[in-house]
Amino acid sequence: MTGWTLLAVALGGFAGGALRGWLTTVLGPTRDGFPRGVLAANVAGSLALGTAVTALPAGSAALALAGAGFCGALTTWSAFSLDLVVLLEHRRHRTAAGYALLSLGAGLLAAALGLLLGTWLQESLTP
Amino acid sequence: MTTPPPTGTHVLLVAAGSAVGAVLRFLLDTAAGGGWALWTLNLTGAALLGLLTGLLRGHRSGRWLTPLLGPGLLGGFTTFSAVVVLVVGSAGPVVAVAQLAAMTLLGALAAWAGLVLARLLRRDRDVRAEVRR
Repeated sequence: MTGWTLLAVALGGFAGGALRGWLTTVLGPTRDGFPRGVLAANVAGSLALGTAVTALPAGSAALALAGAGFCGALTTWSAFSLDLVVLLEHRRHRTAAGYALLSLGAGLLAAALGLLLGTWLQESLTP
Repeated sequence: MTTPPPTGTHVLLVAAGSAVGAVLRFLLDTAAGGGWALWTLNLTGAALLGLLTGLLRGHRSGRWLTPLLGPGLLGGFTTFSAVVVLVVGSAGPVVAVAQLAAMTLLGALAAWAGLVLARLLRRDRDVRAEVRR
């Protein structure tokens, strides 16, 4: 690991965090407290990471920037966990269950699609 | 109640915290390796977010510190995408669902434990302030 790799992760992390910060501002929670912004960030980041890990070479600075940096910071587990607790504390059990199932279901689907997309990109870009 | 900072400031604070969080996650993940690093990172981050949110709630400095350290540092430190990509790439459907359910449950428990600890600490601080008065 070099200093360049760490810089790539930091730059990607800054961009990913900025996008998540913006998404949670423009997509605020709905009236029943559904955290739309974090859901959007997590699903989009799962699609992007699936694509990045299959399209970019392992161990490259490009993958550090896009994967560990950008997608890693765009998506979050801590806010997902705390949002679930807050929903449960407000006795919004159905919203909490819907949020968990939708996040994980759509996240899995997005990751699988991303892996396919990345493989296709990698094959069509290599001569 | 404190008003949140303007959108641009909020985005910058989250981005700055996330850059540091992402580097910390990358270093720990590289040093530890394997799937367990991700579990440790995510559960620790969830517990710390609960603690931080509980401690800074209604606090004047929380207006700036909450976005920087909460969605920023801890949001960038923990990750969702690596979890689902690893699960899709390696496990069969039963193992995949079990792993995701376990991490969701443990993450929520960790965040809740952090919140409860923050409430206990604040109550203790309030009681001591009351005694001094």
